[in-house]
Order: sequence, then C-alpha cells, then structure tokens
Amino acid sequence: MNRVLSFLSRNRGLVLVCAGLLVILTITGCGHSSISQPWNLLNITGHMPPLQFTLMRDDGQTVTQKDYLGKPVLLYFGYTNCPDVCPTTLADLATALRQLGPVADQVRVLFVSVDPARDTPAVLKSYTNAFGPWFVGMTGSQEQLVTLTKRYRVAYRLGKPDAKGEYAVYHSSAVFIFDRQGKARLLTSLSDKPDVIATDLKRLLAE
Amino acid sequence: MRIKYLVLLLTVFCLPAFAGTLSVTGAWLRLLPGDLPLAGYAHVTNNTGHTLTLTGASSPEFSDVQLHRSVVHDGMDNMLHIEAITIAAGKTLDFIPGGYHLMLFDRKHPLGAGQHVPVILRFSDGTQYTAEFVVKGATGQ
Repeated sequence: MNRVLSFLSRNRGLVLVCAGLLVILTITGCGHSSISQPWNLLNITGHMPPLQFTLMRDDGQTVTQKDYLGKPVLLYFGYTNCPDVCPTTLADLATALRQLGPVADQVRVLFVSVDPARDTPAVLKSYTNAFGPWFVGMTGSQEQLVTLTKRYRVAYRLGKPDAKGEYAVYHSSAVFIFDRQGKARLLTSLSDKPDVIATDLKRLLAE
Repeated sequence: MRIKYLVLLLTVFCLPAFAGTLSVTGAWLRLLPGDLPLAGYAHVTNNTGHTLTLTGASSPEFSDVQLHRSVVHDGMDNMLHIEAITIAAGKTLDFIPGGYHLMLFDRKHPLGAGQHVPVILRFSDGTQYTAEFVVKGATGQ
C-alpha cells in the first residue's frame, strides 16, 4: 500500500493525465454512454415501429425482415420509371456506402417499388444492380405494399396516365434507416448529402 | 474580289453563332437499364440579351423528350410535366437532380457511359440550340 502511495506521489503528473483521459473517454461515449452526440440525420428512434415486411425480392423469392437481421437496412420507396428523384437518392446512398469501404458490405438498401405493374423482379434486378452490390429490389402485392407503407406512414399514389400510358407515382422521398436489430433509427431527406449519411452509417455500424 | 465575296458570305453565315449567345454547360444523362426513361441535366445560360422561352426538346436518339420538374413537398416527390420555361436575359436555367430536368423516353439504340447524345432545345422565338449530353452511369459517375 505504501509502495502504491509513493508511486502515485512520485508520478502525480502521469496520474492526472490518466484520470483526465478517463473522463474524456467517458464523456465522448467511447463506451456507448448515455451522453451521446446528436446524429446528423433525423433521429426517429422510438417513433417508428421495427422493420417488418413480407415482399417479393428481385430474385423472385418471398422474403421478410428476418432475412436481414444482423444487417443495418436502408428502406426506400420508389419506382423505376422515376428518372430523377429515385436514382438521385440511390446514387447518393451509393456514394455514402462507397465512402465506408469494406464495412459497407454489411449494409443492405431495400428499394421497394410501389409500382408492381411495371416493376417486375427482372426490371428491379437490373435497376438496383446499376447502383451497386448493396442494393436489393423488392415489390409486392397491393396488400403487402399498403401494409408496409402504412406501417411507416408513407403515402404513395399513382398519377393519371398520359396519352402513351406513362404515369408518375407520388411517393415519399425519405430513406428509413434500421439498425442491425431492425430497430428504426434514422430518416434521411433529399437534402442530406452523402458524407453526412456516411458519417451516421459508420456510427451505426460501430454499435 | 472573289475571296472578298467569300469572306463576306462566311461572315454573314457565322453571325448567328456569335451574336447573342446561348450556352449549355455540364450537360449529362443518367443511364438506367433497359428501356427506362432517362433524366438529362445541364445549365442553360441566356446571354442573348433578351428573354428566351424554352418550349421543348428533342433528340435523334430518343422518341420523345419532355421538360419536367420534380417538386418535393411535405416529403412527397411529385413530377410535373412543364410546357415552357422562361429564361430572363443574363440568367441561367439549371436542370439539376431534384429540380427541372429533361425526361427522355424510348432510346432508339442501346447507350453506354461516355457516349455523347445530341439534344435539341427549342425556343418560342423559333430558334433552336443543339447541345451534346454525355452519358454517365446510374450513380452519375
């Protein structure tokens, strides 16, 4: 005991530095402390239900949220005949994921088409492949889509077809982000830049 | 004498190209697979000294080109078909992701990244301008 006390008094400077470091580590949340930095994206923890769906994947398989447990999931509703906002959002997500490096492979982006009449699994597969390996196309029956969109309070509506039968689809522009356990955590908007999204995804992956 | 005449003739023919210019910069198309419609983006600057009204566009590579505008309101994305866009003298019309854009339907031949596609912009005063749009991948790379 005396030896310890004499060590401490002889190395007072070192002890102070160590104590200081301990305080800093606690505050900055290196141990997932409750005092945490705010997220860049909108924090929806506790405000949206956990991930739950039954949909047809772009390989023709029926899948549920259980197939994605253990992976952070980004959920986005759109349609492939949308040449502007949908690909812009997906391209931004691709840029964010590329910034993450190899850990991005743990993430899945589920692009859920609310236009199943035009978006067959084959169309969805070639569409999502164009953005990167992390993208998965999905769609479902009207009932499956209504169940899912209602769950996340997402509205969508098919526009009036023009003379050639082309129609636009009104849809939510937000991306829902779920953690590895399927808990709803963050929401992006169109104005969120890829590096901002990447920063939050990195943090979510480190949990 | 003959050369003088030729020079005069050339000057007359070249005049429209120099008098009051319209410039198009950063023009590109986002390539999507299959027959999906594509979006075109560019910055169109009106330095002609008078107001211009863009009333349409076309391309030999597509059956139809339309002027569109994405409007995100209350978190909902809505795409509007636009008939005409006015560009005041000295102003730039930005066709950008999430805003005004060209929508190009039914490509006539398969397209690849790096290719150049001519797009003709038509104005209400009868003038038109051909811009070269470069094809980029889905992610804009």
